[in-house]
Amino acid sequence: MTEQEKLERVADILDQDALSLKSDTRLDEIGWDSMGMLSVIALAKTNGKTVTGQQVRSFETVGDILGAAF
Amino acid sequence: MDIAYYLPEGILGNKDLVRMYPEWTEEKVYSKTGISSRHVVGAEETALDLAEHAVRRLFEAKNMGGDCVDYLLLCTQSGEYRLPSSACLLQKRLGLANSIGAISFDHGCSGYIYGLSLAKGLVSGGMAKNVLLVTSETYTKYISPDDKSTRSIFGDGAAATLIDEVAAAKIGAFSFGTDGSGAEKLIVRDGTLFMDGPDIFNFTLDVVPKTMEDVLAKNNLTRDDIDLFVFHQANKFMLDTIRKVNGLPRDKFYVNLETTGNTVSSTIPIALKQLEDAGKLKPGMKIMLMGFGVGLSWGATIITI
Repeated sequence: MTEQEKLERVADILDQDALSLKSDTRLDEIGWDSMGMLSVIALAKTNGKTVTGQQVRSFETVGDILGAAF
Repeated sequence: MDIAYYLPEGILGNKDLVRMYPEWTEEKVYSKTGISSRHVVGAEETALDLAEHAVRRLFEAKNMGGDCVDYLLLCTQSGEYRLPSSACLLQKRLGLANSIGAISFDHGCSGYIYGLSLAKGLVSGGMAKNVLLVTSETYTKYISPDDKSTRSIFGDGAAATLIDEVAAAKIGAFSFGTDGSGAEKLIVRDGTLFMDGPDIFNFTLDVVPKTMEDVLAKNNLTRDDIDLFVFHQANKFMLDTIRKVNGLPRDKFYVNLETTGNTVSSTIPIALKQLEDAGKLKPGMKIMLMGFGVGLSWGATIITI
């Protein structure tokens, strides 16, 4: 999966515009909330990875999600 | 099993939530939770009230009184008093015989499974012939107005199930699990509920596949033998993820909490009653039931219709 495809996947689960999402986009600027956290956990699980509650609460940028969920 | 349920008249709809939390939209709440409204108790209503209503509905539907009941199991974490047991209070309210056994046990989302196991044991062991299993919760009373996520998920409700000798024989073997190290992930302290959503989500994704395999093995069945999977209706997003990750067919995996929300230990009996009312339950069907949540606690069994 390319970086752009991963960004599009993340944009989809966070209900964001894929074109405006970048790796350094800050999560607190795009309405990051508990629903977003669960969506990331689910995304990681479907990729065979586990993101803990502690991890997901520490995320600050979209890049953090990309690094953990794929 | 004969089942009835009761939901309080108060309603908290998504439009009400959006009014309180304008950063959300009704569509967003629904798409993530699968819930458009949930029933909430009034200030003076208690879990005991809901329990009584549910049982009376069952008695009315079956045109029966409580004379045949010889054991009452009440699953609630919202007891009327610290003591005495709410089961004793429910016995009085329903006019059940003084000769019955009656106990309360305080389990949450796995409570119906544990209740079925107790009922089966009582009947199979010759200690009772007709067990009335009641689940009832008023979690909305514990949720802070500031906790929008939790508030969007839970609803109040109660269910009553009558397990006689015929029904008990159709309840299969059980799989149980307990992990008290996760107690603080879902807890009421000082009257306020705290739920660590991400950790509870991960816990569920972890235990479900193992429990599924364990309960199938104990019942000498395979996944293909199961006609329906009726799991605790926690929220739609969690259930959808469970289904996808475990490769369960959509048409066999029941999801419906749209107008009830998560009613804790009552979600499974409510789901079964909804399926019955919709004509979806046929004799001989095998249904896997699984509950998981507060404790941390989980359990599963397979019933035959």
